[in-house]
Amino acid sequence: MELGRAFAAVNSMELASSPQPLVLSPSRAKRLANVRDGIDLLKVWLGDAVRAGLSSAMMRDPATYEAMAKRLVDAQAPGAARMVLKLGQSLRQTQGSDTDGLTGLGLLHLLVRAVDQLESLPIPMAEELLSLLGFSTKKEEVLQSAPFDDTWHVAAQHTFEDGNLTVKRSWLYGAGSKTWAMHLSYKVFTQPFDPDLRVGSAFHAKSGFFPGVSQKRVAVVDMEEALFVPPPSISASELRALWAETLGVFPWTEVVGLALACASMAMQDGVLIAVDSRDESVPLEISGDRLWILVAAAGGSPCQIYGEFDGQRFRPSAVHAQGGFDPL
Amino acid sequence: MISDSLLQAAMLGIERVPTLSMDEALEAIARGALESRAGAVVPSIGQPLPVAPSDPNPLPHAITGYIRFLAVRSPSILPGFLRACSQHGVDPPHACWPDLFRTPAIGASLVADVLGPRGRWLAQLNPEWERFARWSDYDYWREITQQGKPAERAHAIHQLVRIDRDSAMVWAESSWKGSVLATRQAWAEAFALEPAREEEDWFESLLRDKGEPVRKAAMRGLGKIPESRWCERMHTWFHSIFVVERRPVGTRLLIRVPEPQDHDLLGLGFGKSQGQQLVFDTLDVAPIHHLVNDPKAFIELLLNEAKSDPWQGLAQALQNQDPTLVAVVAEDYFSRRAVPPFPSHRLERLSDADAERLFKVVLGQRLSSSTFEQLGYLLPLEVHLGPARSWELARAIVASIKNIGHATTFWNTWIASAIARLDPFVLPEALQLFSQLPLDPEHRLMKQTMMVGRARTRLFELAFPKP
Repeated sequence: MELGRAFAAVNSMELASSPQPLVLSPSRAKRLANVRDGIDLLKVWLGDAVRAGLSSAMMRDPATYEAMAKRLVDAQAPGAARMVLKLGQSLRQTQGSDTDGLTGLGLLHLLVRAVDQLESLPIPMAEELLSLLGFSTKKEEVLQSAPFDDTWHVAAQHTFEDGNLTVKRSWLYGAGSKTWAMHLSYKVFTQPFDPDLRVGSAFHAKSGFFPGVSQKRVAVVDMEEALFVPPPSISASELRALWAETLGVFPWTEVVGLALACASMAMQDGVLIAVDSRDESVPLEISGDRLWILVAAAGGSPCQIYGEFDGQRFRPSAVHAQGGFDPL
Repeated sequence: MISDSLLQAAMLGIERVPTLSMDEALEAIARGALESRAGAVVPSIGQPLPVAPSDPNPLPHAITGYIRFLAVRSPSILPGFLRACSQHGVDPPHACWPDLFRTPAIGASLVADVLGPRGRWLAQLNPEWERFARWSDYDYWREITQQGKPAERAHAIHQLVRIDRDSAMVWAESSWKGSVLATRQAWAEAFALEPAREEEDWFESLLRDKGEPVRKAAMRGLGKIPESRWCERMHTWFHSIFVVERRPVGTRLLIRVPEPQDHDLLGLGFGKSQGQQLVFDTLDVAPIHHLVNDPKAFIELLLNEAKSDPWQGLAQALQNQDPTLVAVVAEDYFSRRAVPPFPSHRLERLSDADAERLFKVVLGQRLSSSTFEQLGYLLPLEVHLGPARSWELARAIVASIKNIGHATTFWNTWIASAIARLDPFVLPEALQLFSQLPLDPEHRLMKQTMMVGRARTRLFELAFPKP
C-alpha cells in the first residue's frame, strides 16, 4: 500500500488539474517570477550534478551547494536553498555511500517539476508548495479566513536551530476537530517563544489552519488554559500507512506528529524499538537519559508514545503509561 | 526503490555510466526517493524488554515533574526526599528512577534502601546502574573490588565494607599480597572509618605495610579503637613531648623536641616534624580523649596559643576527632568574627545543641558584613535546628538584611541560597517574609531559587502530606 501511495504522489502532479486557478497578489506574483528564475538555475544545476555524479570532486565540494543555495536565496526561494544545503550535508555525512543523498536529489527534481506545473496543481497543494519555497502567510490572515474554536492538547514537541532562529515545532491534538496539527513558534537568541507551548499542557483558542494538504499547520490566538488529556494513538502499521498517504499528497513532507500505540518495546543494537499489538515495529530515535526515562515510564507494558515520524524513525517527546503522562 | 545500477549511475555520473539520459536518471531518482521514503524497512525485533513488576506503595505520579526538575536544578534536595521515602515506606514514581540513579549526591546505599521492584527492574537493564540492583549480591562485589579503575575499585570497596564487613575482611586479607597500593589504601581507609575491636591485630599488621597511606589509615583506625595498644603508645608518646606549664597568669603549652625513644613511631613518621605540627600529627591519628583528661580545655589552650591564624592544621587534624571539638574551634573563629578555615561539612556530625550554640554566637553579634558570611557558612547546619528553629533563623536573616537596608547582587545570591536550604515546611512563610526585603525579585538567581523552593515545597507536600 505504501508504494502505491508514493507513486500516486508523483502522478498527482501530472494528472491534477485545478478547477480554479491559483490567484496571487501582485507582489506574490512578482516574487514567484523571481523564484522561477532561481528554479531554472536549480534545474541546470541538477542536470550538472547527475552528469558529473555525486561522487565527483565538484559535488563533494561544499562550496558547490553553498553557491547554489545563495542563488536561490537571491531568487527569494530560501526553502529550496535549505533543501540544497541539506543535500550537501547529507552527502558529506554519508560520504555518498547510501541512498540518502539520492533522496535529496530526487526531492529537488520533484520540486523543479512541481514549480513548472504550479498553476495546474490543486490550490491547497500549490499553497503548501509556495510555503515550502519560503512564501509566508500571515497568522492574522489565517485567523480571519476560516476561524474556529478548539481545545488543543500539546502532545509532542521538537526544538531545533534554523539559521539565527530557534524553532519550536509542537504537535497539537484538537479535541473538537479530532485532528493533529503542527504549531510553529520562533525565537531569536534569548527571547522567549511566543506562545511558549509546553508538552503536557492544553488550551482553548480561536484557531485557523494555514493553507496546505499534507498536515495541518495551525495558528492560535486568545488562548485560555485547559485540562490536558492524552490524545488517542495509532498502531505502527497505521503509522506507516498514514506516512505513505501523507507523502502521496505532498512528497516533501519532512515529519508528521502523532501518538504511537506501543504494546511492548525491544532493544536492538542500542536502538529502542516500539512494537505494536500485531508485532509491527518502529525504531525510536532516542538515546541517553531520555531513552531511560521512556523505558522506566513504560516498564515494558503497553503505552502511548507521542512524537514525530520522518518515515524512518519515530522521535518521542512524551510517553503516557499506566496513568501518567511524562514529557521526555 | 533505488537500485544498485541507479545508485552507481548517480554516484559516478551518467557520462561514465551512460545507461540513462539525464531526464530519465532524474526521474528514476525521484521515483526511487519517494519509494524508499514511503516504504522504509521494518526493523527486526530483538528480545522484547521484560514487563516490570509493580511497586507496593507508589507515590502519586504528580510528583514526577518536581523530582525531575530538582534533579537538574537542585539535586542536593533529593537525598532528603529519598530518606523520607525510606521512613514512610513508599516508592518514588518509576519515571524518576533514571534521575535518581544518576544524581551523584545520592549514595548507592540510600538508593538501595528505597529501591522497589520497579526500580530494581530498571537498574538491571543498564550496566551503569547494575550496582543498585545487585547491592546484596556478593559475587558482584567480589568482581568489582578486584577489577576496574582505581577510583571505581575504591568506591566499591567502601560500599562493600559498609554492607558486609566480614566478607570484605576475608576478601581484603586473601587478595592483600597481590593488590596494588591504591587498592590496599582503599581497604585500609574503608575499615578505618568505623573500626571494630577485633580488627586491632589486622590494623597493627598494616603498620608494617610499605605504603605510607596504608600505614596512616591503619593509625587512624587503631586510634578509634578504645584502649587499643596503639592508643596506649600514643598516650605515652604524647606525655613525653607535651608539657602544660602553669604560670602565675594562665598556662602555657610547651612542646619538647622528641627523644628517639619509640623507634616504631619514628619509623611511622613521628618525630620528623616539630612544634605545632607534632600536635597536629598526633591529633590526626589518636583520639584526643586518650591523650588528655580534658580535651576541650586542651583545645582551648591550643587556641590561646594562636597569635594570628596558624591553626588551619589544627582544624584539619581535628576532622577525625569528636565533632564537639571541631565546634570549639569553629566557635573560636566566630567569636573573632571570622569564618573557620575548614569546609562547613566538617560540622555535619555536630549535635543539635552544638549547632544551635554556633548560630547563637553569630546571631548574637552586632550586625556587620561578616555576619552574613558566617551565617552563609553555617546554613548547612540548619538541618539540626528543626522547623521551629529554622523559622527563627529565617526571621533573624531577614532582620539582618533589613538592617542593611539595600539590595545588592551579593545579598540576592546569598538570600537565594539561604531560601534553597530552608526546611520545606518553613519555606512558604519564609518566601513571604523574604518578599518584604528590598531585593530584586527579577534577579536570575532569585527567580531560579524561588522556583526550586516552590518545587521542593510542593514535592514534600504531595509526597508526605501532613495528617
